[in-house]
Amino acid sequence: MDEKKLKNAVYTTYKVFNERKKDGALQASGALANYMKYRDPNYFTSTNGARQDIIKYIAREELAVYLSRYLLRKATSERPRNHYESLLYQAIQRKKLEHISDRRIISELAYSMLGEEKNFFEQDSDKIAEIACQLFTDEVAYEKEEEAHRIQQEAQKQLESRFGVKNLRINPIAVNYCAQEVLDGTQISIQNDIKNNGNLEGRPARNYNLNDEMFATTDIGEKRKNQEDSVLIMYHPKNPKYKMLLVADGMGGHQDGEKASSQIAQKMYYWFNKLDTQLLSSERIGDLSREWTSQLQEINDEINKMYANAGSTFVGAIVGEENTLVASVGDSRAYFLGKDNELYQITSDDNPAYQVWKRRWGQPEARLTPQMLDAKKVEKDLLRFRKDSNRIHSAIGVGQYDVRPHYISVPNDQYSTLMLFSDGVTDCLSDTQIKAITQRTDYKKLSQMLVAEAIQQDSYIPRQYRNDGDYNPVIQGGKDNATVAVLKNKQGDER
Amino acid sequence: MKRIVNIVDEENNEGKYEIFCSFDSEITGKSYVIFTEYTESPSGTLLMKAGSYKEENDKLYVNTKLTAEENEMISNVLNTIINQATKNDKK
Repeated sequence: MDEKKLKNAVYTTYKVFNERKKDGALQASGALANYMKYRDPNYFTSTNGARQDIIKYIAREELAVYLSRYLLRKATSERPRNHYESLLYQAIQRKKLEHISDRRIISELAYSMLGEEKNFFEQDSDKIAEIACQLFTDEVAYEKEEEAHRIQQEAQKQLESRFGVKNLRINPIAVNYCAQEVLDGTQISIQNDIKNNGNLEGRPARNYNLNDEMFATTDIGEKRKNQEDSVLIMYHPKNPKYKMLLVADGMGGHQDGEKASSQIAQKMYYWFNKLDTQLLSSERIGDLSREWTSQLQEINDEINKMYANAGSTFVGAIVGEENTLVASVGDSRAYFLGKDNELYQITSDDNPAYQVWKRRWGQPEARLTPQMLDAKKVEKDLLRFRKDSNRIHSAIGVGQYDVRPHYISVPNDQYSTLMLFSDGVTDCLSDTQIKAITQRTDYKKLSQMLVAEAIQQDSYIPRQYRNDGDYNPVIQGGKDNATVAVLKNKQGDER
Repeated sequence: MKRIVNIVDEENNEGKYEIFCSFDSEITGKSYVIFTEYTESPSGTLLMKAGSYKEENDKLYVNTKLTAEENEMISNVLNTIINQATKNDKK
């Protein structure tokens, strides 16, 4: 499609939309549907022949607007990091622009900024297309969420009084709220702004649902003042069968812990977005783990440079062609519910007491007697009561020179549910409790239920250990931030 | 409600549709849905349909035969949404 035809097509859609709406809503429907498709970034990234042309057109016509909004969000939330951000930041300070809605001014600013960069628009069009594609996808998704919410609220207000319309729900178009909040930094700071949001009644929990397939819940808990956990669930932009889930649990004084975990989630988002999908085939799993380690090492170095004593634990899963690769650093855990409906912890805690337990009980369970299996379970559960259970010997950042993630690969057809946890959940729930909750709860509510149980229930050590100085007799529910990410794997689900 | 759902119409035809919006009416006591045909690679104009519905086993059982009052209400809902969307676009 040439540019002229494309431009005409876009404007014709607008025109038709504008004309038809006068004739009645239902007649305008086709145009509206087209209009919405035009606004849908997925449409542009689908593999049709017009994609590059569309992107290039948008690059010229709309790049400035989306770039400027992106920069504005960045510049108002953190210190400017480069030339563009710095220019925009100064302009914002000067003009006291507070709202993204002043598109004209922002657009002009962005045009003038780009103009200074040696005829930016004359540069290689593929490069511009690539930048525009990323910005467009991010910004349209962000804008769409806000727009849909606003339209819904306004329309509901008008319709309720006039026509008795209740519960108006405009379907959001596959927006990844989780990624959006990770990218704009609101996931970790939002707990002060929202009350009674989500199904954890009365709690400032964040709940995310991606296509009824991936879910996440994060809650600040009862004791902590900061939310230091970050969670991310996302699809690979080129193929939704590839997915990534991660939980990072920040460590460090002041607010640096939350920044470190948030930084990990943000960097992993960009890394996975650009990850070569060939690495997700089962033959390339070694290459994938090397790439992943190298990325985590880079993040480690950045966190060490930026924060004196901050860092984060990390557990992540990448769902590839036939296998799921799980990586962990520290004591954030991954579990799966197997085809046999049993719960398995996939990861190893980088905690001395856990390592001792693992060495003692690491042999295959087939070799253990029933009594030994019971003892193994009891000893495992005692670990969370240990006074030194919060000591870990590996993390990302916190001045560590090297990152050494543990990797394990699980065939996709071997599990029905994959779960990632911060220790705010696994400290408060035993494996037996996690298994029971997982088996009895609808998977759509599972992440919420696990977090709710971890916050609401106190755990008591068995009577015979109550006076043992090495153990805490009680673990209070909600002692820490609590986060769960869940993947419902239909490939392995035979339940 | 999911974005893509299976809809069964009053003649028992079942197909995959994309939901645009849904709402409940205090006046009629029914729930309504506005939807379009779903295609993997959308092109051209899609006709938007509307009807009252009941949800069972992840499917929507839709009755598109509506009274004049119901049609008017749906037109108004759609008009209001379009007006709101247009208002935002003009900003």
